[in-house]
Amino acid sequence: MRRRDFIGAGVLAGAAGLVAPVAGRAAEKLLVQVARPQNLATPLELLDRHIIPTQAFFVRSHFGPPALDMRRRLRIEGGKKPLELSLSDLKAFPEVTTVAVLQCAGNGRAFHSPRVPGVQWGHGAMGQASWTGVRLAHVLDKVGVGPEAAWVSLQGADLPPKPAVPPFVRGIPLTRALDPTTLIATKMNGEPLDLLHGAPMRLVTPGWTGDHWVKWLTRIGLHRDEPEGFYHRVGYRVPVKPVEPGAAVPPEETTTLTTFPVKSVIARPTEGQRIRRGTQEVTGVAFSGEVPIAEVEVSIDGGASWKVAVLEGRGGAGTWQVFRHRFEAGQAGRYVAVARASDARGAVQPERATWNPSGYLWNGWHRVTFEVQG
Amino acid sequence: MSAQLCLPWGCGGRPIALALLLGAAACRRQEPPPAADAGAAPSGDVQPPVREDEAPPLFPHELAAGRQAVNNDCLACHTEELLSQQRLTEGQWAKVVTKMRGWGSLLPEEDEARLVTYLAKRYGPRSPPFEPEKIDPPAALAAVEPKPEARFDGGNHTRGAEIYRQMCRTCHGAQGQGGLGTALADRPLLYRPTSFAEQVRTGRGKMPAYPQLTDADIAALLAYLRPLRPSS
Repeated sequence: MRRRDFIGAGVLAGAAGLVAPVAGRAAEKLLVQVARPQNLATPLELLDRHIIPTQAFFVRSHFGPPALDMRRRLRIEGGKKPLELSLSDLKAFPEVTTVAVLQCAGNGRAFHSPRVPGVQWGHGAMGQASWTGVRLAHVLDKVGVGPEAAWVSLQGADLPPKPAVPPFVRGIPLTRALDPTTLIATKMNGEPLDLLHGAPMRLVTPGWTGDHWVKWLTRIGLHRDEPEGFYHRVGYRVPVKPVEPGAAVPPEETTTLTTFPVKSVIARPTEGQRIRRGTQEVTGVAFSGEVPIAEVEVSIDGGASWKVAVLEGRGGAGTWQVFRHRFEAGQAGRYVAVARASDARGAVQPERATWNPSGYLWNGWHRVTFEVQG
Repeated sequence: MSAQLCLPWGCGGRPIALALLLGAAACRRQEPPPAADAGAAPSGDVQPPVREDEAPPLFPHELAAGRQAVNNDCLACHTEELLSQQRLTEGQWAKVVTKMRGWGSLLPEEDEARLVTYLAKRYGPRSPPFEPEKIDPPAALAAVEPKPEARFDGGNHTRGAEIYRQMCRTCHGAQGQGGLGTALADRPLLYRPTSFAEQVRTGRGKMPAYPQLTDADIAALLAYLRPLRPSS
């Protein structure tokens, strides 16, 4: 079923788009950034559609998945009374579905210069899906949040490979936890979560970087202070103020990640693609973590001149829209397509992203060189 | 069977550094370096001229030491792409290796510099771009989903506990939480018995092979391991 939808989506996009997507199975394959633990990237050519099929949706984890266990329970501690919930217990809460971008904080790390350690993602650590589950606020309401609680810790069942490796614990402020868009999701694209994407339950925090979307969620804690631990106090932090590329930044001058900035990526044409003369199209997706997209401008002359692209789909904070820019490829030769998004608050995608020591939040212009054949 | 006498920190009680000097071949077979390594290795000590846009060449002894450290001390927790996609300076690699030693890599301190040299030359800022392999989406999921095999079902828990105590617990921990070896508790591998049996019988990195374990032994081990939940 999912397989059929997946292939169908590719065919539909091919029919709609003028620059044909890369034919055959090659475009369906995930890119193996790391085989174990699995870190897999969505191919760029698929970033031309509203929803990325689950099977082709990127996979990120620090330690790899735990064993598949649909009876795994979620324990909520630190409230007025502890609570343990199974998948079926969640059915007592109202079900909500939202469409949102999931983007790894390190998406685009490979484009930062100087290079920094970490999984060297290109553009493939992002995707948009529909997420179905229950509001975290409803669950916390049942637990009873004390007046002193200000932070919520999140932990999955994925065990570090060795006890010396810190467990993956991330925190979000209580206000973010109570936001109606924050979900404990049990379904992705209408079907139960699969093991690679967090079965049986994961967190969904639209607009916030993927490290907060904790998979295989088994423990939620309510706290007065920000959580301790490597992945909150050392990892997933950025400098408070911009720094010189390559600079060392003291921990006290960093802050934990929250939302991702305005960004667009071109799916087609692909790098080096040869296309025919005539009416052609630059297509991709654009989004921002905090507010809707306002506009996407596209250049086919490397940034010398810009035209406003057509946006498709419903916009919103943390939701992507497909953009299309049709142009007449009248002359044979080499062209450079560039996309530049701006959001509803006036933030404009920069030519180069702000460098930071962990290579997070890349949102520089995407440039694609293609050739119009004579 | 030498495998039972050879524990990951050394053979017959000798310290790990000595075991490495003697060669891990004394403990278990050595994996030959991949073909790409052989191709990158200079044939002698005479080095080709270094170009600005090329990674610096590795001397044969640097290659051998680097491969041994990577195979033994990195690949237990992650595959090689996590190394080969990096483009880091020697200083950056030194920090990464120090961090990984703190995170349980068994790399002896005296081998740290050799590993850093290897990684910095092999995967430095001037190395060619990383080209990821591709995988069919169904195969990616299939690699971690349960894959039942009837002959490994219904193992004897008591026997599994005894085998684990004798052969596994020292490295993998009383609760399967890992230690010298990697964590076993609650891992997908426990529900993929054919892969589990193969790893146990052939070994991996510093882990010795246990070819003598029967299907019933493997089933018993799995019956013992599957319910383990380390306290964290």
